Amino acid sequence: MEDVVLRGIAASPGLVIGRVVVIGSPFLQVPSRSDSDDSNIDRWLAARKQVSEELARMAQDGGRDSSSQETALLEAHGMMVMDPGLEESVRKMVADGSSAEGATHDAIEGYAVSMDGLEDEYLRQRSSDVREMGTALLRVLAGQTPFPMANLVSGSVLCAAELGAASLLMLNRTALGGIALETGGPTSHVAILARSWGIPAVLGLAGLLSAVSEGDLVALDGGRGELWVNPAGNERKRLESDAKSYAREKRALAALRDRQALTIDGLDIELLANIAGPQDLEPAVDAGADGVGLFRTEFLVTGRRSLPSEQEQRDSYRQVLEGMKGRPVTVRTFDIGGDKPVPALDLEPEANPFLGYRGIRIGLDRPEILATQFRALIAAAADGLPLRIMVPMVSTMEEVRQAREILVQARSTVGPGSGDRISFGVMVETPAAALLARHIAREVDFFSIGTNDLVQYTMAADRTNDRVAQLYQPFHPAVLQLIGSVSDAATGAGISCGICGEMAGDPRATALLLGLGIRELSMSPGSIPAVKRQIMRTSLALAQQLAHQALEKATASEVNGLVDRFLARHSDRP
Amino acid sequence: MPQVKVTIQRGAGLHARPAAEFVKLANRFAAASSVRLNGRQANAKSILGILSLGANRGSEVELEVDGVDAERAMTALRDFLATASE
Repeated sequence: MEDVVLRGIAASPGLVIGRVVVIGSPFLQVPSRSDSDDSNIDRWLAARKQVSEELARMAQDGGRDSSSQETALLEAHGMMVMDPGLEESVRKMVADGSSAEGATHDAIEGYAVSMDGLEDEYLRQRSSDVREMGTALLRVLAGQTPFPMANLVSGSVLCAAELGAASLLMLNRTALGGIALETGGPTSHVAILARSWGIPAVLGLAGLLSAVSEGDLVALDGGRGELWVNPAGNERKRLESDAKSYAREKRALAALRDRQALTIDGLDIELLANIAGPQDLEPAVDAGADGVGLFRTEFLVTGRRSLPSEQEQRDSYRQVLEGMKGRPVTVRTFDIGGDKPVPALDLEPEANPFLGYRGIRIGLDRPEILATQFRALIAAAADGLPLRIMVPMVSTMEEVRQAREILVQARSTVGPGSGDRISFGVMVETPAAALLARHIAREVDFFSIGTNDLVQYTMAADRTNDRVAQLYQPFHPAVLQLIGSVSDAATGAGISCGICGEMAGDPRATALLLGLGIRELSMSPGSIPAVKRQIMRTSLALAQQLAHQALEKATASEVNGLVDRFLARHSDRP
Repeated sequence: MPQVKVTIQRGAGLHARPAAEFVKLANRFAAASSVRLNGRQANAKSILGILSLGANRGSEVELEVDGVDAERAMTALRDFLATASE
């Protein structure tokens, strides 16, 4: 029998094998108009009372194992149910002849739809909370419990079309092995809760409920975003051994959280976090990041019809700077192009978006956009919080100079002396910038090597294209030579050089990168512990030897062999 | 009735948690209170209304309060919005 694998959004890492427990669809048939009699409003008030009491009971019980954040969430849901505006709308509709069910549905949708239309992504997501409360009311009106019940036994994998945060909090968390949903994304409450509980979750799994039934054995890989249904034979053996080593690994890495990232010979390496918005601050701080090495700012513009104001931008930047409590934050200016939907910019589709109008090329073509972003950043760091700004997709010296000039002008607009302490750097991600590093280094304060693009442009291979993906080789000697020469140029000019692509978070690359002179690695917060462990197992002298040998090789597979042997020799500590 | 313009400094704006705190505060007073942003008005005692406004940090909103304890309510609500938390 062929193994069935579903792929969705990797929302919370971890690997679990367990039995499926299905929670049926929460959607209920809504009678729009019923025998309109006086009992409708009484039925509604009784249903509201029941939902509200259930939430209050849970918020109180939560004292045992809930965080204050979860209690606050349940409290906010309770306030939604008891909302005076909601009651007023329902009373009006019932008086006009609606059933309690129809009025609940319409009144709730009225609020949810207006939240769906908000620009702020976080507030937009709250519409699902409102709808969950509507569903709870409808369930009670239909004679059911307000929140779905699930018969969880230890290690169960919960499968549902969708699941609200309150419903999740009502479940027996200690028995929950994993969560698989047909809907939802990485910023939903379910994803946030799953990450904070350390439970694997895969969301957005199309066709989930037709692929699994109650009691099926599944393997849920929250790191890869995969769900295996009834795996058998060798695949099952592999998944079981992976699940075991995952659990062992998790314990070992948790022990490193508060340790400093020092090599055996005492060199301190900066481990920084890549974040895509203020919502990623908590995981970054939790992972013990020394700062933010890549703050992607595209969330401010993607999907929007109008560009964010200077003030809105300043507030987001400020939130991140304050959230990192004095640790340095490196912001990358908008890195957009024809492959990302930005209605506000009205970008034309291009035959070659990755070789097209993108990154700093847009910033210099439409300098008012770049200038606004610079001013917002300068204002956000007005009281001296440590800010570094870098521009993406640089390939010429002129681009560096023009961007710097716009920054200088932005400083003088904001006020004399403002932004004096802000560092200005460039992303090195084109071979042209890497080969020119010696010149560029004299005119900037730092480099950050974006290895994802540098590998793609050096190898001329798109890794999302299956037919050429094998050519996307981060360990190719050509790539390593470029990284080494950029790092050397930075050292020669006395500026810092970090890495912020996926190579930075790959423990197999750690020793190589240290050997090439890199002292700052920025990665997704979840990768920090494993990279830290690799640093603690490596000495600078050995790493330099390894890098020297790798630079002499002619193929990526020879480098891979070299790295494998190195790692096998030095895997005993700590 | 008392009216005042405030620029929101609290948290990231009137997001879930600050919005809930704000609504609880409004409910401590007998006075009716409302928040207006971009021509839309919400009852300050309604969390659904406040969330639907989409008020971010930096948004300038208009507070309106009416009732016996209007003055105290106005001071409390204005200070809440104008003060950065923590």
